[in-house]
Amino acid sequence: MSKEGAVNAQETAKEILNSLSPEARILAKRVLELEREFLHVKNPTLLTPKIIEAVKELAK
Amino acid sequence: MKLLKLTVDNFRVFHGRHVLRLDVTDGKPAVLIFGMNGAGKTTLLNAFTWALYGTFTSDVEHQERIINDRAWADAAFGASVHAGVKLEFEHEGVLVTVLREVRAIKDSEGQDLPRPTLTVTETRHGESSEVKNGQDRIEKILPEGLRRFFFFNGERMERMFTGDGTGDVQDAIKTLMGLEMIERAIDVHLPAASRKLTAAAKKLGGGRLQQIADTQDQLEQQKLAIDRELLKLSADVSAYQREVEAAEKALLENGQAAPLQKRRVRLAKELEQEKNRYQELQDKQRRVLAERGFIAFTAGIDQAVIDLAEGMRRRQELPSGIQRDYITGLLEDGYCMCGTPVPAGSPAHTALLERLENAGLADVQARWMNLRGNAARLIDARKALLDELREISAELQAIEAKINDLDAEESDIARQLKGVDVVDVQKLEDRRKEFDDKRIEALGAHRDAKRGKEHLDEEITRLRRQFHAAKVEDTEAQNLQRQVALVDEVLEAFRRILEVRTAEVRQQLDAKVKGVFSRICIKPFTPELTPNFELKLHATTAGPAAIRSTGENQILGLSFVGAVSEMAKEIHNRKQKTDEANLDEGGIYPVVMDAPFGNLDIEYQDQVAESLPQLTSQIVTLLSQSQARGRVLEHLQTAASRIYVLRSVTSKEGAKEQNITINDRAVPYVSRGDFEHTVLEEVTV
Repeated sequence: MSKEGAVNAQETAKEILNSLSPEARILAKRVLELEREFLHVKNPTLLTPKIIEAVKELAK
Repeated sequence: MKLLKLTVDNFRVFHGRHVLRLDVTDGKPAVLIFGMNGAGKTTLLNAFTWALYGTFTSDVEHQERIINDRAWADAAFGASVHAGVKLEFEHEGVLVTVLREVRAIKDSEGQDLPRPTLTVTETRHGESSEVKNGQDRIEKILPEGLRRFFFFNGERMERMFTGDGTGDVQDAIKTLMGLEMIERAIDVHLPAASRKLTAAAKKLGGGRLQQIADTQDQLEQQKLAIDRELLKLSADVSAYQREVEAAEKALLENGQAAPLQKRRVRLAKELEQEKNRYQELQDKQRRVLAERGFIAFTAGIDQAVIDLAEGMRRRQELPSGIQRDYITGLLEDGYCMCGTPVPAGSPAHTALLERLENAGLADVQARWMNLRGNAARLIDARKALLDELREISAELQAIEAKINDLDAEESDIARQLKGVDVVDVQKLEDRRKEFDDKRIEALGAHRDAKRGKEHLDEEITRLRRQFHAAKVEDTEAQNLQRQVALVDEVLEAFRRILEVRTAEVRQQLDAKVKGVFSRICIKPFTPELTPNFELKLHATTAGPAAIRSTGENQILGLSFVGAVSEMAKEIHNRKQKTDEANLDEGGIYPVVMDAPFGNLDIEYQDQVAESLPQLTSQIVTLLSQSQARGRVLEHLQTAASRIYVLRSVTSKEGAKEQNITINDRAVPYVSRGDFEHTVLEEVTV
């Protein structure tokens, strides 16, 4: 990536999130919450099932 | 995280209880602790990390002897003996107390201690409660991976960026900057969710879904194999590089090989410069050809346009303002220039009118003028282009010749080194060459494997699209298909976000490291944080790698720690202001450092002493008397909220009592006593 591109990276990251479908935006937020919650655990058993749970709730 | 108090109780060299108050006032972020060798500076540094993580740094000897030797010796057999460290700090408005202690019933002379216990207590609004999983809580506040940035020994700082430590540093930066959680989502959890949903969908969805999913599975397996290969190759390259460096260092240290090796180092630097220049010229050549290369193919066309325009002008076929006035005059007079009458309605009159109309097209006229002018300029541009390309080509040839000369000279040195009649030198030279060849080969294999992985990624992305779009009858399978598509959408977005965030973090950190480093280092070296988050030092901007001394490595380390602290703080502040899907982590962290000056010269010590207080909002510095004299001490004292002395008490007969001068007062530094121990004493600032 060019330096000019990197200057606006934060904005671009936001743009990327904003370009998602409404369901995907919610899922992205949830996934980040879960990752943060379990960041200190090497292999969190429940993280993937929790992501699937969130997905199933969003795309029934 | 703001440190408030550290209490050590019968911990290692500390007999009994000692309290180190750590709260600092604004503008005076430093807590200074002076102590002579063996007084317990490293023990104090380790007291912080032992309390938080239950571990010591690798340089601490006899790590099993946690309880003070005297306390252990004094205890009767069957009596309970105890040691502990309590660290109190404030974190995001909560008072946290971390107590790690070990209790044992003495049943032998040696300490065979049980596992230490950890108690973490949090106090909010005056109410205290014990945290159930204390270590998890600590990990969330300050992950152990980050301890190297905030609790460290200045003398060993250079190890942060050499050898096997590099990978850990990269991981730690990612953790701190919030990239680790995105990476984990991308590498582990979202693909796992996608796989599970895909497996369920393929069961219900029938042949087509099954076929796509199976093909994808195969490709994923191949990708995993490549990932393993890439990891191995990266480790191999680093290991070979280390061997090459070790052999080069040994050659430099060998009396007979040193002159040749020094020449080779110089040659390598020159070669690196020439290679960079060669690369720059090749880039320039490509750029010139891409932007203006087409001009080279216009030879002849421009002259043809000029000739055509000139001919038309001569034949009066080229419209012009004069021609228009002239025709208008003929029409008004009613006679042609040859005297023939041209009455209105006659064919000759009509022809003149048509001529007038064409002559009146100002834009046609302007275009012809432009075209002629441009055609003339095109000739000049082509000449300039060809001149420039010739010049680049000549320079490239000159550099090629120079590179060939340097290669030949390098090869000659290698031969001479092989010819040195010292077995060690020959062996070293063979070893250097052997590992350099291996390194180059491994780098090539790494590039190939990476390309292979990229190709697989493209293939998998194509299959995913097919999977999302495949027509299936079963309603449940359709749902699962939508769910897979949703996970993939987020996965793809996270990949792009990781790319831009990584670039942003690297760029910001790079700028900060450069800023801090230039404040401290007196040499015109420039640090660079590479796209792989490796810290390099260049002799000049974008020049070859500098051959750095231990001292320069320490300055580099300090700059890096300062930059990381500053960025962590900025990210933390940004985090507080947003409630969006938050990608930031960061935090405000103290720095606790033993021997901040390591092996630095006095000039550097002065610069470092001045820069230290600016690194972060709280800095605990452990140093010996010899490390803080004159201006260095002045700088440090100015920034200090608290000063402590680790008074060494010795029972050695004839040992001289010593004082240390702090704020123009003599403070006991070494005193006599019944047994060897250390007393922690606060000095009034």
